[in-house]
Amino acid sequence: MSDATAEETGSVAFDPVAFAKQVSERIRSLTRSLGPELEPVVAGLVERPGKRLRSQLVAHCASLGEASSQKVVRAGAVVELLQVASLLHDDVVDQAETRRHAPSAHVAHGVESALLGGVACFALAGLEAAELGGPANRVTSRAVADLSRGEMLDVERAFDVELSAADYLAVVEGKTAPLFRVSCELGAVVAYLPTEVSRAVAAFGADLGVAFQVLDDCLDIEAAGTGKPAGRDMALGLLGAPVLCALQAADDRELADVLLSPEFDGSDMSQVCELVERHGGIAAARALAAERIERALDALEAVPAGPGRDRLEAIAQQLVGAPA
Amino acid sequence: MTRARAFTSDGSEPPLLDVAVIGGGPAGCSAAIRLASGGLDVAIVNDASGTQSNFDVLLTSVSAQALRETPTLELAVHQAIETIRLRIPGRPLRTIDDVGAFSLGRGVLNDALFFAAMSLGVRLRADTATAIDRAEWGFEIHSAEKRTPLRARHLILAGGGGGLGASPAADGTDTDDGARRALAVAARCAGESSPGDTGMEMVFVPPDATALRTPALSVWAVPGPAEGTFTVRVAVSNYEGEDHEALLAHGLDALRAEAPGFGELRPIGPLVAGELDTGYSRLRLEDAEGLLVGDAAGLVNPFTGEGLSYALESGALAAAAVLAHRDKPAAAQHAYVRRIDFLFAGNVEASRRAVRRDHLAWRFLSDAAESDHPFLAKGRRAILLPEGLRGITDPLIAQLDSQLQALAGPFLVACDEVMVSTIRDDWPFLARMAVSGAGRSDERLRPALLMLGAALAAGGELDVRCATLGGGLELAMMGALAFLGAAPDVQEQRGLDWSQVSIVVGGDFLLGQAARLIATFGPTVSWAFAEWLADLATLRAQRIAGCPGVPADATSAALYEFPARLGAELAGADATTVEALRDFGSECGRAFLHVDEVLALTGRRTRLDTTLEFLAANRLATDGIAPDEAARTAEQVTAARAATAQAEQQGRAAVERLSGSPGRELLEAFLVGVCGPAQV
Repeated sequence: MSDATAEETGSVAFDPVAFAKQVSERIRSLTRSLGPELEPVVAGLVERPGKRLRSQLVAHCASLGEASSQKVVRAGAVVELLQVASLLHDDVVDQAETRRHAPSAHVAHGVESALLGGVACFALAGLEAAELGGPANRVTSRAVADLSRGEMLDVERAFDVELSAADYLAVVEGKTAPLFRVSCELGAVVAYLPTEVSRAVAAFGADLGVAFQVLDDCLDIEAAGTGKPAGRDMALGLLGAPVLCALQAADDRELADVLLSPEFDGSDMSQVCELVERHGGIAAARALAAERIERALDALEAVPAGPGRDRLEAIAQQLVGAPA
Repeated sequence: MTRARAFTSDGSEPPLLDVAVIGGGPAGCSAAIRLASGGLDVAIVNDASGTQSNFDVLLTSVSAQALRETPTLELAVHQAIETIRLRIPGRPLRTIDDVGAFSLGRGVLNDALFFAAMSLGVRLRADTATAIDRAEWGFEIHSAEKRTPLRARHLILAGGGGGLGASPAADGTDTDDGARRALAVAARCAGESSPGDTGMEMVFVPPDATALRTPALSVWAVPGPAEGTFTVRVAVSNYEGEDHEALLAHGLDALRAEAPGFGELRPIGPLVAGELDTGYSRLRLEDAEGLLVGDAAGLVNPFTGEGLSYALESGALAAAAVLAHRDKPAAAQHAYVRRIDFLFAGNVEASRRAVRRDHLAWRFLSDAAESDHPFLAKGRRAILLPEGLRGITDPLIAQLDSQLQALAGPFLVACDEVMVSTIRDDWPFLARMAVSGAGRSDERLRPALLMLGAALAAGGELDVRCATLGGGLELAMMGALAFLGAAPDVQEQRGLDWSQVSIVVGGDFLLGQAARLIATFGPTVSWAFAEWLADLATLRAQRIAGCPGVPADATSAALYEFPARLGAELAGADATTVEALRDFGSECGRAFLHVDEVLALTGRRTRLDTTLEFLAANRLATDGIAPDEAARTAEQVTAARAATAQAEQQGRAAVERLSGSPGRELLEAFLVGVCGPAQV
């Protein structure tokens, strides 16, 4: 119990490994209720988590105030469950065969079960958020509504080679930013942060989310040819930031023609990469991301200095500094 | 024959009419007839020079109903259309049943409407309107031949099409996407062989998967009242050509290639052509001098090119708005715009996003043609047959006593408004699906009504939150429907598989919006909502896995348990009441499934808009129900009827456990509504 007391004061160094473990345990205890038919469908993503960036944001924001560690863990479970739900559904939409180095859930368990697994995770996140109380429930439901809208905007623009960078950022604000924003908001809610600090971390989270997506798009292009199925999204017509920036900069239709060609299936990305590079797509996209990181850091100025704020700043800076 | 009433010709100040209607086509006449029967002094300004070709037009079930309700209208000979055979190259044939439409000659329809208007005392100015001046008291309409202008308090602008939704000229209301052009041609045709039934053909050739602005073709062959004749109508979007003959030939080729029995089809009547104006926008209606109706308002379905039903309906709505605001033209226009924007949500719209969405809907039509998944089947109907604008209220309501009627009617309308306003800007087709009735024999079962009944039976009162939560509830139920049953994999072309994507993205969107509405307006039931969804997913997964002890109707019971529970929780009911209401909801859900089984087994259209094959293959139907026709037995029908009767009886028993209140009557009516079709 002494740990919890220390955590409440924010005086102990944050242990990401221990926190991730607690979040996993909480998620497991929730998904067990899904029974032997559905639980295995979601277990893969629970047991092979990603970087857990979103739940870490919860913890860092919560550390700006006083929060019971139980609540922080539960709030962390909310955002990770939402992430699992959206991955399960996205993989069906994107026809992704693998996720985190294993067959994706719809490949292993069938499409309908994977979709039900996503619905169940979404529902479990809702249960957890409802138990965290009114404000947590409100911000979570808003994020869920925004995410579902963003998901739609994202597919709706398929094959739109004329999409401007600004319009694309609006799509990203819908599909990626809400989960980052709500992670910060939930941290703020469970730690009873004052309104202006809550707003600041929410703004930070939203900008961080946009930058995260844009940089992820850059990695897709940069990693092409290294074995990652980078061309998948492009084959589906879902063009990322570097490609859209290159399309806008180009004064001919060469890149557009390649991307719209009925034969293009994303397996050979060399021409796309070369054209994106030639038109400065990566550099332009990275500049967009840097701009968002700058804005995110600016938002943190309203947050009192301390280890919590330092950790948030570090996350933002690591993101842009990430090796290509 | 009645003669048109004349205007004063003694040089005195012309009278101030109540309404001037410019345009004597279906939209204008539809408005004029209703205005005149409402006691107003109405004149139609119509240039009679336009020649009319008597090709056949399709009247959807909604238009057909509107015409039946039109005073003094004598319907001439017509041909019933019960089914639509939807054909998309490379996709399986889809038959849409229970269409309830009919066809008749365009000229015949026009004449009937026109003479109905005249017989009601509508005046006629056979002239071309040339200018409109706005005055303090109303409008002054100048015309080419007559020297005295026409003066009227209200103005209805119905000068749109030439029978095809053809818009003579853009009127400065271009959108940011002026480049989209759509064209339609039609001609009466005949051939040696013909299917000779009450079905019409619809052939769609979708645009390229990867290109947003490539031509998309829709071809109809509508059987006419004259034996062996069909009107072939070809509509094309993003079209660059000008040759009407070539377009008709192109459409006929597509028809011959896809539909058997049309090999010999050749034109027997003149070709009619025009540009389609699908450019409806709320702004366009708001900015207009007067009430824009029909084609003049750009109310044309961009997929089918159909505009006649919109014309009739918008005319009627304009008349209703004027009748409700006789002395206030501005208020009438405002009311009209609001109503039309609500009802036509998502059918027609012009914007850059609309280009993408149209493309998306085309891909949806094509990819989802493989599937009988209820969510996809309902989506298909919502795009092709935007019916049900009048079916917004539930027929169940008619059976209630007047006190309950007064409560439930406006409540359901309010629920619809919530649903539409929540989702229409983002996904208009879903909005259409949410409020669309689904055909002539449709009885739209409203979960919101179950919620209301439960809340009242538990001693609660109807407050403003109820409609918001009712709307949220229905969005949630529709979203849940998306995840029950699998869509087939379709992957032949580049790009997303829209049958799959529509299910995932549409379902997520509906559940997400529902979650937000509930968390905002009923935070105390957020937990129950989440628990319901988790239970539903778990049950369904068990059913897919073939778990013993999880019958097919367990899922449908869980589905309908929620509205009843939500009502109970909203009313703050005690545990016993909550239990009784949850039981009641579950029995309604069981009955719902077994009624659909009866409907499917007896070859009728199901409420889920799906087939026995789909229900059986997806384990949605009771075990033992065979998907193939040969194995269907009378015993199966008997068993499904018996299961319905049992659920009904247990539902009644659950109601008995509730204390007497007006809610009980509503619940009983709901149960009767659920079970009704099984008895026939």
